[in-house]
Amino acid sequence: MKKFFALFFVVLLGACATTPAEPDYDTKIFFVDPGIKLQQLEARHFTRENDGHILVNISGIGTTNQTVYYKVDWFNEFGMPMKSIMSTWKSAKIVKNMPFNWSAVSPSPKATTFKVMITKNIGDGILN
Amino acid sequence: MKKYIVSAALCSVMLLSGCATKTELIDIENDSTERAAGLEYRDFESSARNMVAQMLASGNLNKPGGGRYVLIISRIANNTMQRIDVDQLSKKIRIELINSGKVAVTNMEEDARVMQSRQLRKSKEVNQATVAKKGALIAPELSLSGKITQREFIVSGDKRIEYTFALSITSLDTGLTLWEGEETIIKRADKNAITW
Repeated sequence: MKKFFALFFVVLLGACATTPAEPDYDTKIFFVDPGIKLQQLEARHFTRENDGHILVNISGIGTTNQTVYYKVDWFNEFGMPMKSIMSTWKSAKIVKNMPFNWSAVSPSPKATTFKVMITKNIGDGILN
Repeated sequence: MKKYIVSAALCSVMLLSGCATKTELIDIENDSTERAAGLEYRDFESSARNMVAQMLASGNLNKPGGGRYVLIISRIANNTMQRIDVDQLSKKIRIELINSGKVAVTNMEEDARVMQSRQLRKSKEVNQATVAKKGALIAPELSLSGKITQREFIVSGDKRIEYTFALSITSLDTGLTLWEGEETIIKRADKNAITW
């Protein structure tokens, strides 16, 4: 009988558990540190017709005052990453309740897709 | 007595070598270590990155009718108190511009071998079919020039160092500037910090 009640409560509590909320940004493009909360995060982009370069505007609204690092990685049509100084971490200040806009341009017309990474900590870079 | 002195010296050497900071490798793609007061690789990289991004985003390097411009790297003056190889900046920019497909960079002035190889036309030892032809060199259409400057101030007991990277891309045909950019890096350091 005791076992039955224990099982009953476990099932009951399990049903009450909240499932983690889905991020409201495109998870195929954005990789965001779970500790960073941003609103209306989006990346609008278009390919410039006369030279094939992709121009990206990353925008959102900050929920706290903080410094973050972001990086845009570019990939060619085969999905291979394109090495460029354009794909390095950049720091940015985010202000609570204020919109932010970051822009990026593809390093070459060969770049067809991109990913945006946002984190609070990029480590000290020392390799052990 | 001599034995004691030798042992003491040996002990001191071992003790001091134990305190030495070991050499570590830094991953330059994830480096948030302390900054130097002088110009360092991250300053050249961020300036080059921001300026190349501006150049590409502006669309001013799109050659009318398609194709690539031929660019020559002219003088980038070092007006800082530091001994800098300005190639640290210009090399990064030319790599990115070449990869962008916007320009081809001519090395005819930097690489003396380009002109020297033409002297082989007189040699009977060299197969003349393999020697560079007359009129084969392509003249530059654009020139990249610029300046790096440094100014120092004492503000609230600390040293403030301002570095400015200014670059221009000029059409050699018309003399008009196609693109200009400026990046400022400001550092605050101890007032005794030496930047040269």
